[in-house]
Amino acid sequence: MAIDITQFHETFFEESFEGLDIMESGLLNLDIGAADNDTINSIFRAAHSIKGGSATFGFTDVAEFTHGMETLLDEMRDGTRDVTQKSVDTLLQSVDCLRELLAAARDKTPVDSERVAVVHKSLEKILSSEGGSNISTENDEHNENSQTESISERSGWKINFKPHHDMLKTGNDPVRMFRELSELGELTVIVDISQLPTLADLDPEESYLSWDLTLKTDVEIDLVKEVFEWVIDECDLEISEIVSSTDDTAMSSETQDRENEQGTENISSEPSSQAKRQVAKPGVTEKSTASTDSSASIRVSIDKVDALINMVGELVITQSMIGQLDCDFDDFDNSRMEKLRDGLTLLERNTRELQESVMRIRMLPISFAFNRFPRMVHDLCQKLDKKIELRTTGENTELDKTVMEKIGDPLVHLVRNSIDHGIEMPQARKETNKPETGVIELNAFHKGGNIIIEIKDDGAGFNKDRIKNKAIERGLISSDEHLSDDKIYDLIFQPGFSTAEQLSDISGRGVGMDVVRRNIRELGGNIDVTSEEGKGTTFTIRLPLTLAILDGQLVCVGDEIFITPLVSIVESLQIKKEFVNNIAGQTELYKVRDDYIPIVRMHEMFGINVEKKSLEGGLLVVVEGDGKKAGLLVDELLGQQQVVIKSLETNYQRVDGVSGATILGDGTVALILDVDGLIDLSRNTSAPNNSPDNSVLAVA
Amino acid sequence: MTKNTKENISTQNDNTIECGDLLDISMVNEINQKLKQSLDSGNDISINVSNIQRIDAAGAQMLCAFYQDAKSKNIKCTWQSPSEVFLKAIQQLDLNNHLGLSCDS
Repeated sequence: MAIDITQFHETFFEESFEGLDIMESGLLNLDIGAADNDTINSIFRAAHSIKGGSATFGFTDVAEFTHGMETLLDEMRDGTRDVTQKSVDTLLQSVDCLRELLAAARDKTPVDSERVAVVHKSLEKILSSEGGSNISTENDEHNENSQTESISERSGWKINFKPHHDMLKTGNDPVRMFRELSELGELTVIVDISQLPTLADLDPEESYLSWDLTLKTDVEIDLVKEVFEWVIDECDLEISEIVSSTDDTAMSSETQDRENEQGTENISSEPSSQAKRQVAKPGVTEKSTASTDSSASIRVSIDKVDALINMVGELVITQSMIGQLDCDFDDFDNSRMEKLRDGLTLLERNTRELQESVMRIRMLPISFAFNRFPRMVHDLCQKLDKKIELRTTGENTELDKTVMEKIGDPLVHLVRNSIDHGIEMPQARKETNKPETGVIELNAFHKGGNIIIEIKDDGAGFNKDRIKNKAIERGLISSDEHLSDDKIYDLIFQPGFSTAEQLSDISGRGVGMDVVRRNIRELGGNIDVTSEEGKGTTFTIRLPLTLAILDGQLVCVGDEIFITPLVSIVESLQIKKEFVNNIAGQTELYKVRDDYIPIVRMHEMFGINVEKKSLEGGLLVVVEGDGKKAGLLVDELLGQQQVVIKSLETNYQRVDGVSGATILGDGTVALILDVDGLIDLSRNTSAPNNSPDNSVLAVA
Repeated sequence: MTKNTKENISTQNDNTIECGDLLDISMVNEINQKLKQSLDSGNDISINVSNIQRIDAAGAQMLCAFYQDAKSKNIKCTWQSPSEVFLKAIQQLDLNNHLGLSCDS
């Protein structure tokens, strides 16, 4: 019976992407010049698995590409090749390419074959050079770049053919195969006899030779592959395009290769200006770091599954216990009532525990989000000539998968900012008596019902005067306005605000921090910043552990019930008229101890008819969001309960001041308040000439 | 057409190994024994490849291992009147230099 192997694709891709993460982190941990066999072995194993899987599932381009990497890693592993910066960089670029190839295979989308060919060529170039002598030189890099710039047309195929030991025994003969190849075009053959033993050790029926073939031809790859059709399972085969230059000044790739191999230097040491623009630093692309792409599935540890099964077992026992009660209500005595009560209590506990167990399944360690940063720091340090050490703590802190996927981009933005604008150049650090190597710390920990993520750097810190001047220049504040430090730092989250003197392609275009804050707020979290000039900056992100369930306080306004997140509630109090103040007849403030907070009339905000409109004796729920407080005027406080959040955007549309909805026990729908949004909204609507437009907020 | 130079080819040698007209995987074990024995003798060796009508990678590879061994032991090895088929196969596999057969295009 034929097996549909496509059912295994998803698992293969998941494992392959995990393998790529292992490879990337291993490569970043490799010590240049030293052979750390454990690390190289783990990288090799990951590459080997990807190659094997991709060949099995018919992703030949992935298998062929991985083969080159595997060969290089194998040589590093057995000590015949030194671990050089160039090899590691090329392997990192190859990891990026492989990630693209796998994503393209998974999504059935086209891949940037030119980029893949260039990286493949770099790999081949290293492989064809003598082991240990492939130290990167400026000249090499320039050659590579000018090659990158000028290639555009295929002129043939480069074939790496390594028969397995038993291939000759199956009657397949390279002489015949090479003859067939030579009929397709101009064939150049380079044999590798390095594995050939002495005659005494030779088994003459086994194969020890391997070949690098260059076929100059315009035939398609299928014809080339056809030659190897019978030996595909008995050899390591890698076929790559030879791309030739359309630039008259550039050399053909093959000629260039040979000259590089021979160490000749007849290529100008000055790269062309065009080539210079395209300095191919290792994968400073979004794609290269996108290791936490959202995926449709999740890996769950067996412990969590066992806990879930235990809970279900408990639930079944409870159900059977309740079921044993004879439901003859005419004869329902106190003892049975007692048992029923016990059963219901048990049921409540089981349900809660089951819910917690299910929620734990969605929890992933934050290392999933942190793992991308070593590579990013490595690449950007090279690009910017900075020295930065990345330290992470709390990688095992768990976070809901959805939150994890959504926090990735804001974190990237903040770390990029720290690298680009926070950490100074080594010389500048030296001049200020700092170590040349800057430090960026990523810390994660649980606090209360939240997860806290800190991004801390020991860089230049914010220049408060510059932020203030920029804000005055942009008309955000007046020149005589006195602002606290917090308010000043808060300005960086304004749209389009940037104090960077020079824009770079890394950060500093001023289109980021506002988006970062908005994204974090959408997750139900917030972000704070503290900074000290010359000492460094710390961004602190507070996030809810999960987006699916919320501890809420039910409040009643007219006939409507709203859910206020418990984490946002500071206190609830009954309004006393003497503490109410009016400012210019517009904003109503309530004095809470030494603080004045704006009163948000919920019925006005949501266009609800209520009987009692006066403040006197009303209930005020004091809430805090994003460092700001407000008092929500409600009619009644109901109970507290956990609610399952349903997206309003998905099921209806986005409504300002509301973060979602839930279905209550009696089947009615209740809106969940977005406290931050509500406070902002109330501030805007209470401003003169901007009266609230209730129709926008009216409960649908 | 490519021709090999005749410099390394000898027709006069006491220690001559006949390769016959077939040197493929079916014959390599047999020839291999002869090659080993001749290497052990330590004398200069001549290999008659003039009649070869078919040679495959297994045969060529074995001759290469033999030639490399002989070279490392300073044993002179010469090829007797290599046939066109032999030369073509050796060239096809890029083993000319490794067998001491330089080629002129």
